Amino acid sequence: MKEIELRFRLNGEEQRLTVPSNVTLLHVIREHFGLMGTKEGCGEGECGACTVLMDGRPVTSCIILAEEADRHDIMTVEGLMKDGKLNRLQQAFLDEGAVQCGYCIPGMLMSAQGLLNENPHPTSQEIRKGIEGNICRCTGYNRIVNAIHKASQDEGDS
Amino acid sequence: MLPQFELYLPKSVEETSEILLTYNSNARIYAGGTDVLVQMAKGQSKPEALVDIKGLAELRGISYSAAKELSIGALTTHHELENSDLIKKKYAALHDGVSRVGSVQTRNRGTIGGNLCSALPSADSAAPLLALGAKVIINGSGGERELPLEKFYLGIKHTALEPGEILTKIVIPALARHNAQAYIKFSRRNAMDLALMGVAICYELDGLHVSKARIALTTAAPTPVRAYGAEAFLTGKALTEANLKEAGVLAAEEAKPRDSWRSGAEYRRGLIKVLLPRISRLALERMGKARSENERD
Amino acid sequence: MSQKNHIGESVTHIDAWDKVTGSAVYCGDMSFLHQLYGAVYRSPFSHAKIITIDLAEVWKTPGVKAVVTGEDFPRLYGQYVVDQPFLAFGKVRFKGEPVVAIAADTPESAAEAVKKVHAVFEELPAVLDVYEAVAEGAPLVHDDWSKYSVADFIRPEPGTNICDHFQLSKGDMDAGFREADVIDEGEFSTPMIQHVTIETHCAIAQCLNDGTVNVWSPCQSPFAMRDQLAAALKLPLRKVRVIASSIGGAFGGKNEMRVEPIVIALAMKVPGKHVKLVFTREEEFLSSVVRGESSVKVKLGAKNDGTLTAVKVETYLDTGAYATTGPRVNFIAGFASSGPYVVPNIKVDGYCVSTTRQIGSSFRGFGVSEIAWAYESQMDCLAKRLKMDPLDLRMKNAVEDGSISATGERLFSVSAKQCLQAVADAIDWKNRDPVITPEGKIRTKGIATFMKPTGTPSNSSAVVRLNDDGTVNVMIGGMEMGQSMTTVIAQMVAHELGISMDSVEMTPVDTEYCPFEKHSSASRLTFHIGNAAVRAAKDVMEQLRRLAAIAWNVDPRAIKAGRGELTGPGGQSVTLPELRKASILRDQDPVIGKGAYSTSDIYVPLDPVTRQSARPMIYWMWGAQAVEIEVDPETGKIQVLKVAAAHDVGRAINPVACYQQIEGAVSMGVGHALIEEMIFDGGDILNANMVDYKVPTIADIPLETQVILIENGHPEGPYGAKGIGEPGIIPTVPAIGNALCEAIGERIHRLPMKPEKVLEALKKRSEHCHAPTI
Repeated sequence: MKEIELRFRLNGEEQRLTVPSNVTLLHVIREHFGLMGTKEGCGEGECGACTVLMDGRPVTSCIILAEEADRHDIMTVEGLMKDGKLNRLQQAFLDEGAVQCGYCIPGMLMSAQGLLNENPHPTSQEIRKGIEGNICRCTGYNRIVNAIHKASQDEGDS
Repeated sequence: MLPQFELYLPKSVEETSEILLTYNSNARIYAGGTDVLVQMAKGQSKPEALVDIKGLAELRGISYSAAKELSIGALTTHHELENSDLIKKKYAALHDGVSRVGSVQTRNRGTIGGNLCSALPSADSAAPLLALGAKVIINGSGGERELPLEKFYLGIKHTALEPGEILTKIVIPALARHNAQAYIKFSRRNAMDLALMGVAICYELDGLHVSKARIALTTAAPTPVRAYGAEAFLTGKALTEANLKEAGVLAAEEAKPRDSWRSGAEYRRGLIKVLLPRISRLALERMGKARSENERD
Repeated sequence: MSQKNHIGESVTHIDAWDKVTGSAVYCGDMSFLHQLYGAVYRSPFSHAKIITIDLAEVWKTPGVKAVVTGEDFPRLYGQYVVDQPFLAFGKVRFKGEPVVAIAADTPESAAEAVKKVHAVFEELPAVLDVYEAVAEGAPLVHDDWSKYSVADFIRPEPGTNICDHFQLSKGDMDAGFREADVIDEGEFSTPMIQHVTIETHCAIAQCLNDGTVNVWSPCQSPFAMRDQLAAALKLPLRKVRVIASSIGGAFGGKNEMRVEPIVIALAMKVPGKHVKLVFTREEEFLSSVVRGESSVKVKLGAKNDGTLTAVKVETYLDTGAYATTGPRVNFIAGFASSGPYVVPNIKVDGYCVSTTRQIGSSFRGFGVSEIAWAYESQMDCLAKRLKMDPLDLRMKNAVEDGSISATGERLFSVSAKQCLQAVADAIDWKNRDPVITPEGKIRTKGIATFMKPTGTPSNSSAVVRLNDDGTVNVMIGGMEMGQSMTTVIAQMVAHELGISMDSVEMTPVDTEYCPFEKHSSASRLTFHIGNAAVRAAKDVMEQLRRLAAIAWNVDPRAIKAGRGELTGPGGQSVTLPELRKASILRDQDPVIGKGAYSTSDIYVPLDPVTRQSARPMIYWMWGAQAVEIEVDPETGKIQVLKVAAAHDVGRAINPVACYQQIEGAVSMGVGHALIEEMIFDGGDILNANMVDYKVPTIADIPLETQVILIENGHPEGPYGAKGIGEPGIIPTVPAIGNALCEAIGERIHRLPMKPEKVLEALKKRSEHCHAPTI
């Protein structure tokens, strides 16, 4: 089996690495880069816990080959903070009480960020559609919707 | 953990075809990966090679020819289609279908070509494309050929692709100016679920009468299928409640849904009876709205 | 100076920052240098004798470092019945039971080696249904209950699959039914369901040559795990260390040991090495824990005016292959089985039944969820028979302060009626005639209530260590699992000590240095740890008073100690934030406040036959919910439009935390009511994945959940608080069932209420309607 050489941006930093072809993007993020914020919940793209942004759009990293990240821009939950400050979504999740056990939250935040990248001022319906691929077993979702709504109304840093 | 495989990143259709032929049937095309990787992770599929065709630029994009034929590259993602104004306005049935595939994340990766080539009875883009009269363009060492989508499906997970061939394009022929179209997906869960039943319709209208009807169903047979009997019944008729109801009954009769633990065949048949008139009414409403908007413009 | 109050404030959860930045450490995020990875060979049969296990090929797999079978390690564990092997030996009792565990250098090697296990079994007849299991001559899952150590509240029936027979009686049931003008009965059942925490089960173990066992795990109850492990391994408690990680959802599912026994058995083979194992999603369904199936028969007798005269309940709970929490589920179900109603004559028989199926254990609201689905559905049936408004029937019979409960207690701090009235108002119950929408859907409303016990007797403790700068480290043994308990406890400590939330650090739970906690279950931590933590904080103030007396050279009795403030007789004064400046701690005895709390003093042991007691429970939880649903009569699909939920939290220490618990539980309840079930073909699970086992997405939950917090303070609770972690799930399900019955005129007796069943019921209804009436 061939090893593959990759070059991609991860949370704004240019990265190069060589990996076997059969590893997933999730595996590379967690095991090679030690970014443990991105979680695995099902291993088949059905829970959303492993969601990261690829070129600004949410994707489930457990069903993407690492190879596919080559020459792309990947962002994980660790990339959301800037200068030691929470971004507006993270802050809104705290303020609105959108966090309980927290396991789905990194993926949820990335789906929300992906939505705001494409649609900075989504309606409640659009927010709901935007996180339909992220299962949360704790919250009942409505506080998460409120948090995303709130973040979308805060101008300023993204 | 995924099993081991060789990975290829071809740059042309010819190269792709060659690799596929080398591996006989032991290589799989890899596009969005949303089906292939899941099957591999579960041990249901153990290809010796994956052929990632995302480098084939000619398989991308949506274009509209002078003859008003719509051409969709096989690598076009569901998300691209969902976000296309053209699809939203002129091909509402397809828009309905692609926006109900999986989740946002799946739609960002999954391609329309992949959705068709996986050849699952529940493919949400397939029924709308059947209703829109789509053809598929297939390319391989033997050159290019064209098939009506109906002929592309041979069985569950089984397509008409010959060794070395890939699906490159989907073409939707011009539709009559007045057409009513929509797709409805009925699932137990309201998101991230497989269709228990899907009904797509496209009625081309001549005044009040149907000049051409195409009705297609997902999860109603081993492959997505047309409901020819119901189509024939509606052709030349007005879309009255009574006619739609009868069409629903006919479509339900000709469908061959499976009895499975996901749902009983009789229940699925019942859904067709209910959903066909329902989705037809929605399509007509849509068409009415579009017309009045056009008049305002 | 102004003291912050903290009690009743929705402060941001103290663990949330870590969780939104991805820095919270869950067990799966931990790794140790040179750790090994575990994998499991599982039973391919529901019930079979293990004849031989050939491991020759396994050992040949590169990277394999340890292999262990049940024969190598024939030890049993269990919380209430010590019946469960670390790995199966002798026989397997469910499909998916761990038989061989393997540790290797990489997860891939371990997985590869599993494929090389050659085991020979002799199949035995499976027992896949509770009624089959209790039938005469049924194959026995466990040959002899007397061979096991069994907790004293459990009554196994020898020679049967009945692991526990719970009985309760009050008054004279037969006389009660004779007095009744109307008798109505029904049977209600629930399918096997799974917790589907987004984090799967995971653990890491390390065993040292001196007998030390270290376990890292996202476990709900670290001390209960320590105790079980020490007993099974015949080690002193001090030698077993459980280090708890963040928990990615529990809901009762992480209250039992699942991965831990496997990694410990492996780690014992390779002393010093860490062995890690994370369950796949499939393993989660196959071999973690579930809520077992239940069947509940309820018979109600009432006077024409609605007054209940008698209740008879018979429950069958499937606890699967091993007892785990099953007998406790049975106990709670039996205890709560006549609902929050005044009933003079009651008889309850509850059977906790062993089968060769997945392990039925604790699941949020256990026992009460199953039983309330039955009695609250049956109450609506009775209302129909009596031609009474279901709300009026409930109000007429609901308990209030001073009522005698089914278990003989004079109740106090009761809010059943208040909760019912609150949700009736919120849902506009008066206007509840079915409405047909323009799309042809039927809109109706339903209501349900419950009373739920916590666990009694039980105990908790807390340590508050005061630092020189006036900040504190708080050590407890109960687990944060998303219910924001640590925040609530920190609020109480901050309140008592007059310090800011920033000054309170909650220590991660580790049985090596944290104080004892019985269980993180039964919605008991706010109340129990809360009481202990308040005592610990008060102890800090007491110790400070003594130290200040020395520093100020005054009589300690002359010092006034308030919340975080000491005032001396000569005008001396110090607050905790100014502690360093006041230097009363310098070179003095370090201050370590301790607080312990138990309910053994108020607990009156139950009569062994009737289960009557003057005080069986420290507190009860009260609540009611009303729903508005929309039914599509053509497809049978139900959409929940609105849920109104009123719960008595005693005192909302952190209102947002209360809202979260109720909202989350409501959405989980909607899942149970409408879409969740494990589907089987014999012993095979057909839907062991997250596509086919459906938990609610955002598109499935009620569009609106209105929560009403009732604050009927409990005299023994911290600031009056009661518990709220579980109850929201309980009335959601019967309220939806009751609304559905209003819509279609038929009742669905088995969950989930899926479209096919609704449609079938509708068909049945139309057949009834066409039948000639006599």
